[in-house]
Amino acid sequence: MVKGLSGRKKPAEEPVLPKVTICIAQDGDEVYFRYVRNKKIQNLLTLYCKEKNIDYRSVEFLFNGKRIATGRNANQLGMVDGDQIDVMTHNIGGG
Amino acid sequence: MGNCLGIQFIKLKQGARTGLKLLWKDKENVAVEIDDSAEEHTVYVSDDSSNEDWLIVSKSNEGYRPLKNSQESKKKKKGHRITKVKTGFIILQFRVYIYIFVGNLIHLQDAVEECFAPLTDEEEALVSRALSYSDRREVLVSHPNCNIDITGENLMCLSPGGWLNDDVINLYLVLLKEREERESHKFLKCHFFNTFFYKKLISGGGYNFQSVRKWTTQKKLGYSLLDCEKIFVPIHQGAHWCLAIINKKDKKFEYLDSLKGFDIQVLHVLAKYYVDEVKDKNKEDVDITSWKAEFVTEHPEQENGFDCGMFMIKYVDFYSRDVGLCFDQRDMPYFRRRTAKEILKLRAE
Repeated sequence: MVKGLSGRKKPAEEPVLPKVTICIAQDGDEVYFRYVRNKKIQNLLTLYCKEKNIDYRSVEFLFNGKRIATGRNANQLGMVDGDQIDVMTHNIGGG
Repeated sequence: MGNCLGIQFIKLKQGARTGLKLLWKDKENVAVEIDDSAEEHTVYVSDDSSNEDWLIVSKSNEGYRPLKNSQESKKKKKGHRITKVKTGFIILQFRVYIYIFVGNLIHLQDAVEECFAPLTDEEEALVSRALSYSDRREVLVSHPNCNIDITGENLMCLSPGGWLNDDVINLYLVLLKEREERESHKFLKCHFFNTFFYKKLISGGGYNFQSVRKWTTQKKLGYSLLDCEKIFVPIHQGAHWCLAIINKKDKKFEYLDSLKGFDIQVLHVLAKYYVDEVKDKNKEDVDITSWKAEFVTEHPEQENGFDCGMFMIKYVDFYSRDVGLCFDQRDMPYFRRRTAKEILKLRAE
């Protein structure tokens, strides 16, 4: 009981959790990852691209509408459990 | 109205400035007397409140230019009876009013002029160098806040005939926002959504407010979206860029397509979005039944198959300055180089 309580309290007191659940969404397709909080998010994204067989350079990763600084980790980006990364394909247009 | 004024201002500019120079002392109390008998059409201009200051101006093709000032001219005036004022006076008075009117609006003309400010030799060289880079993967410029890197390949889309890509458009829109924050008195308070917003909003079958709900929190933006007078939404239609505007200032939803296309669905979705956004952020219901949905038709149109992106960002640029869309297809090569310069310098003017 005591152990359980302290376990639940931990996120509020100690924001540095080892892992965070992130959803990566592309065109309605959602994939969930448990990812280490203090590791560069770029590693996760390249892994995702590898799994989905897409070119990392051909897509854009957005977090709440803003392009992700891929050199940062989930903590620096202020991510919490359930946050979503949007994968968007690049567009061009001429007429 | 903006279009007409923009063109008229350029024509009136010289005359207006000459006229204002004559009236710098007191715009309200100016008496103008004309001596038609003299060959040179000498005109005496006086300030009613103090007869000390006199000017002799001579009429020429360019307008009225001061010749001499003060006492000397006063003496000359004394020995010379001015009889014919009538017609000339009325015409001149009319011109005075025009000048004052134009003078009040000269800042608008300056804004139009700013839109067409030529690039310096140095800037031209910078753009030419960047557009001819052999290493296209090299990052030329990178914006620290929005994390957008512009490589040689990205920037190449600004060379003549190139199709604009979203990196260039998104970075330019960020620069427009920074410009507005830098000189807030000159620009309308606007919000510029990036090119992915609309696509995300309609993801998952038609309309999905939840997917973009967190995009516009006050904490994230640093301002409230609903305080903005105009909200610009780039729309990507297959291989074509269009623009939709939530115009809170004039209470309407606008759609601009440089190829004269219509898409009523976009305006319906944005109307729905606006209502939901107000409900979500301000916790109140907004009545938009009186708002108009407008497909702008009197706007500069594209005459080729590659400039739509350029037209789109220039609609945004001119509207955020609150001036009319006084440009056309012929200005596009200049706008391409100007945009390249602004991106390379990470500063929109």
